[in-house]
Amino acid sequence: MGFSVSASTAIIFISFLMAAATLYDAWDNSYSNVQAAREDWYELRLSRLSTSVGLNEGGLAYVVNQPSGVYNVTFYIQNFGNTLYIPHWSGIYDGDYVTLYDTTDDTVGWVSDYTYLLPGEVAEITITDIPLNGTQHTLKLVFGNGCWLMLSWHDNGTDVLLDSESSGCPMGVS
Amino acid sequence: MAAGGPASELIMFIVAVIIAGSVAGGLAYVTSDIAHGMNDRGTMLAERLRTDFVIINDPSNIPVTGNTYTFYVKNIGKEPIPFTADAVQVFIDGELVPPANLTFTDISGNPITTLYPYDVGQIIVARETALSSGTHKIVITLENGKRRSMVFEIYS
Repeated sequence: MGFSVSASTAIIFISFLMAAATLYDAWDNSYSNVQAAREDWYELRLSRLSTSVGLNEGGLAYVVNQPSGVYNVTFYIQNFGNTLYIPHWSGIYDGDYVTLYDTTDDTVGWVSDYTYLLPGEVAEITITDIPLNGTQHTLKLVFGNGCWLMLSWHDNGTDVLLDSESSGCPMGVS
Repeated sequence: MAAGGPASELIMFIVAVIIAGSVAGGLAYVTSDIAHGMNDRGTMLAERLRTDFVIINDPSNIPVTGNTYTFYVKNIGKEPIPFTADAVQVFIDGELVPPANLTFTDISGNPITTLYPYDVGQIIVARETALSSGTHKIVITLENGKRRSMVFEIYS
């Protein structure tokens, strides 16, 4: 009788130990997984807080080609915040998506093959073959973290005039 | 003739071990179930934290062709986003757009089912009637409940 009780107690005790070990292992995995994801979440929000991009003092440069009735404009985009990775940027020009690699596939592109835009550095983006008819145009640059810079301009026949420059970041996703 | 002392001890021992084994087996089953639940919940929570996206359209210039409107979605999270009519719900001015009226493509117009981090995809919304001129609101909700909205302007 005494041996039976001891054996069954031992079996139940060992099973409790194994259950506790299994639960601890599962909790530890979940905790590490969620903690790593939370760090990514904080990193994204921190990167948004430290993102500040705008036109530098030069602002824009333009070339008006009067006989063809078109003009090209180049914007000097300066990074006033933390480092940004330019290949992750996307562009919307006059409402339509455009690639930013260069101007061979569309009329919007970087002047050189940029990768990282370090604090204080300037990247030049150019838009070509814009009809010279006084229409307002808009370029929206969206960075890898969701923040954006939007520029609007128009021509008056001889000069290119910047109408507005705005920037922002997405609110917290719900 | 009744069983002797050693035989009854043996029977008692076997019964006790069977009962203890059953309890241990039940405990192992329940524990394993809870552990799987904890892992699933952790994975789901982590996936939700790593998922983020943004509607990148110029709010004052939405591409329109007839009654078809194009919205650009950029994945700014670290997880691929399921990008199909079954996984993404679109509401315009509070009304659910039927999945049959949604087309999910990459920026070149090729159908896709997943939007990878930093990629941009298009949601093409076909409506029976054109949106009236003025301000409208689009809400895009993902499979895991994450949603983004944008107020945009339609000009006649």
